[in-house]
Amino acid sequence: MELVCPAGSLPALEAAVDNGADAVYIGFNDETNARNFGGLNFNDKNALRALERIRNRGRKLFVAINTYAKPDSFARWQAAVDRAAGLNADAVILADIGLMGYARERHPELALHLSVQASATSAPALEFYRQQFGIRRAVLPRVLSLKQVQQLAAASKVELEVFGFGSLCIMAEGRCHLSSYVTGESPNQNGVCSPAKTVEWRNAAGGLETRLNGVLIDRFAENENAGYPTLCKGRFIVDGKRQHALEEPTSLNSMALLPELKAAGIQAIKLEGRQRSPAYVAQIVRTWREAIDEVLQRGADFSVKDSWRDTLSKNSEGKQTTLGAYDRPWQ
Amino acid sequence: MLAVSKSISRIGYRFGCKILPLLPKWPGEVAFIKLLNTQLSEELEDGLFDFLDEQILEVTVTDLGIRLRVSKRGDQFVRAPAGVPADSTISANSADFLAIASGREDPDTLFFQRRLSLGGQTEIGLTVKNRLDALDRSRIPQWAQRGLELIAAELAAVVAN
Ligand code: SF4
Repeated sequence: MELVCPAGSLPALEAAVDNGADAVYIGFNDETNARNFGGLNFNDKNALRALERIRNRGRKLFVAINTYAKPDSFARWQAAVDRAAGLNADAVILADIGLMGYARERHPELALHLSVQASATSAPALEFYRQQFGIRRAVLPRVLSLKQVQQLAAASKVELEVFGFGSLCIMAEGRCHLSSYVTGESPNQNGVCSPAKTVEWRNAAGGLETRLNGVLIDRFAENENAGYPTLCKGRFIVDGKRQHALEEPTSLNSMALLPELKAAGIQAIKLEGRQRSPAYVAQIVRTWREAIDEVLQRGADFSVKDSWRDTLSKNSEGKQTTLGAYDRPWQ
Repeated sequence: MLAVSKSISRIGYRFGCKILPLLPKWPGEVAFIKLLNTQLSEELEDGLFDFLDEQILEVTVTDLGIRLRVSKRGDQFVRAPAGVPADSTISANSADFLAIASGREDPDTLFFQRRLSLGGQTEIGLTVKNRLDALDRSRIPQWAQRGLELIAAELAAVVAN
């Protein structure tokens, strides 16, 4: 099982490698990747440095070009694929079909991973991407239950990568319009959910208020934990009650499922968080490295150690880490 | 090293908490901005901090009452003029700032836990965070890194008590 880790900067990439990442995924510093934040990600100079460090340590480098190209600027997305191919990256992570076609044709030797943003949830969908574009691996959406993941794994001819840990989206991977509804920018088009320029935090009488493009989306009391300022995690008055109408701020944590995922033949575990600091990357990568090593040694005998759980929950958005969609009983 | 850093942090912290809030202006501001200019000269030249041009960032160390107001003009960080409201503010206590500086804690984690707060234009604060995260730590001498880590650990304990 390969441990695939996030890096938004060179120090984060080093932290990932030092703590046991098998592969690191990065993005270029523009809207071609879904973590398009100021000061984050890699320009050409740093991408080269990243590659050098990865090669020195015998790990793999993936480049996420996982947003959808805009009709008038497709060239920018093509250029991103060319840059990744020029780097000799071990794979590109793509969601846009047009871009996949381009990559296949122009760089037949470049391995393609289907991004979670493409939201392929069935065996025929995966098979379609394999036949059309020769994808080597697909990252499975977090909407799937463990049972569904197992069924897919049994039927799939491509490698499967599953999310291990990280902040949770509302589970409409690749299809969420909430951010563009309020801010005019969305993760799929602009590479950013709730862009920072639209976010405002304000201390008011009732607590810490968050506004998105002027719209109040939450208010945190003195001792309440805060979350990322996304519309899906806001609290609204529904049926006279103020509540998380869509999703609570939680982080996904599928560590307890590692033995089942391994038995199902899942090839890789992905950790979320290119927007986080090297300190986060170091802590969670070390934790998952230990856990995966333990699963590899002990198989079904595996259990989650308290110290691992503590480290993960300390770093997670929302106080609790849950199994997320993996155990939604209604599925 | 351990004993030294322990006493530096304990005595320094107690002393700082008493004295610093009484001063109208943090006396270290000029020196600190100078230090930033020398340490980050390469980044400044590369335009990585241009987003701070004519903007005022205010960093408040809550327990010590230190308030650092920084702006940027040309290729230099400069002190921000008094009386002009900040465009972006970041505040936390000294232990948490040190924990971030020494790489012990992730700022988003502290933010979720309400130990770090942001105000004004969020984008400036976020970009500052990302730029600082991306700095090459190997440029800081080993002993200084280690000292920073020790003091950060010690201060976390002092503040928690
Ligand atoms: S609004 Fe929520 S669900 Fe939608 S993209 Fe943003 S984080 Fe994900």
